[in-house]
Amino acid sequence: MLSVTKVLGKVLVARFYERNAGLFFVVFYLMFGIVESSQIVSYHQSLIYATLTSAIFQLMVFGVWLLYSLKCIQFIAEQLRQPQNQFVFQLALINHSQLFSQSLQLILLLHLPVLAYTTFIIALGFQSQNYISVASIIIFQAALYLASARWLVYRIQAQHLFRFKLDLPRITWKWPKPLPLFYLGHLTTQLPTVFFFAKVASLLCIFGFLQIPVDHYEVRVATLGLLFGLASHSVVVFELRKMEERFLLFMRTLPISLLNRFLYLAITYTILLIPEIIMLAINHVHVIDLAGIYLFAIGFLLLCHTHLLKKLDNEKYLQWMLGFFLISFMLVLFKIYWVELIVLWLLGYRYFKKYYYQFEAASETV
Amino acid sequence: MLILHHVKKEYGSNLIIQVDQLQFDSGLYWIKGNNGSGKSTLLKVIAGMIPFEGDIVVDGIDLRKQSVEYRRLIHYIEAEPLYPPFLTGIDLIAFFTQVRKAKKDEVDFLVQKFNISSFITQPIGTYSSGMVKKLSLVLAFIGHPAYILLDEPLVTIDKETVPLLYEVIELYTAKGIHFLFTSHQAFDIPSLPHRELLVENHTICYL
Repeated sequence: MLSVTKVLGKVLVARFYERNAGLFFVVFYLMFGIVESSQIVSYHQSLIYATLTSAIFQLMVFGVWLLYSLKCIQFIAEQLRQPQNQFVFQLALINHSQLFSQSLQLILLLHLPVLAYTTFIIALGFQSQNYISVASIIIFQAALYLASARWLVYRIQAQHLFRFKLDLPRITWKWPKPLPLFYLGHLTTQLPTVFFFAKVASLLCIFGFLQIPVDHYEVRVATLGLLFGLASHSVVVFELRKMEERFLLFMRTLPISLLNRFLYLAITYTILLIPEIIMLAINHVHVIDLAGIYLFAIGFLLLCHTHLLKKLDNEKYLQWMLGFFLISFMLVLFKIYWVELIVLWLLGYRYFKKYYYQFEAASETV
Repeated sequence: MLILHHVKKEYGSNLIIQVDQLQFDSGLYWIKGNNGSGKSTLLKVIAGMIPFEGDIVVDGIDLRKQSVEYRRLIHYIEAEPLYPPFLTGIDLIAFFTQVRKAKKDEVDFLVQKFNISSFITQPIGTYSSGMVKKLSLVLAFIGHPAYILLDEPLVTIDKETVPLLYEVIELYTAKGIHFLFTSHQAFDIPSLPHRELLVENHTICYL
């Protein structure tokens, strides 16, 4: 099996680190470069203790790990689509447990930076006797790695060709379909599984955050939950942009103003986020806050969408998404999400206006 | 009148087409050229689908300055159009009718003429390429444009539909609508003379 590991290492692992050298440099700088050398140890101890003792901080760290894992999976999926890497599918011939073991090794190699930092977290967790936090971290990471490895086995064995197809209930629409239904119809009919899991993940994030005990009404808990929910929509937004470039090119020739096009998009995301807003409403989020959060969420997805008008590149998008998520997280934490709300809408429209007619997709991206 | 002024289209550093000055008046214009010469790109540029350098004006309406009005006057269909597979032909026809403010009886006429009423209630994903092409032709004629751009209109349609297309073009020409089209197949409407242009060496000229 050593030869298989070597080949996969060259094809996937080395290329992953080469391609993401810039991202790792930025993360490394943020983790170690912005603090004076004499304070590095105490700085990281504080970060790790916060992870171990604050549920919100721990959830944020989990969110970052989840995004990193999604990035790894997306990278593997993209590489496996390349004609020169088709030989990897020959691995389907080895027995299932060997293939799973190889896949798990590969996933662990791609997660080395996360694993290294987690080792320190666990060590400090044991030292400070935060056993429950340590257990939750181990369980979360194990689940991530096992699920990723399982997915890779599934992908290599080409089982996705016979995949489970989820048929969501269809709503019969007798009247002319407005543009937002073109987008939503694409999700419910062409990508029901992606759509379903994004929604389930989003609602679970909100539900999870709303379980955090607080002494008094605290809108940030709901907003942070929604923010994680929005991050789980990143794939949905990317798929909708791909759909625009593949099936809605004719839209560019129609006499619709840019403002109206942008508003159609806003209506699409307004409808898309109705389940999240209903969940927040039944959990007693105040009406004014709810309106603000709703506009914030729509603006968040609009900016993701319009950012993709600059370049429809999934890898770059996920890197950008990670940064965007972290900035938004901090702004929500410091109670200034309403400032971000205005920026999101203005910037979203600015990007839309600037890039809508400027974008030309490379054929392989759509 | 459709005027192209200092129009240039490049993909990266590759020049596709450059037109210093070109004018289309009334009637039919057949744009010829080899595969990859830039005919389709030129039509996409005129339709405002892709970015380019330069200016294009139709009946005094500038694409860059009056984008919505310009798009009302220029209709375009691609050689191999793609539409969302889950939508029905009726969905798209209704959408185009609404956006282009067309009259229902005109649309009904087109649906009857191209004989597509039997399948437009079905999702587009179930259509053959010829059926999609027929639908796209109907969509091209919906509304009140000044120019209709047809990229390879005869590709994939059956021989029975060709005279129907000619009839509709004749009818629309009588209404004062002009046509620019590309075609590698013979395109001949005896009652309507056309002018020919050639796209070659990254530029276009009248033959």
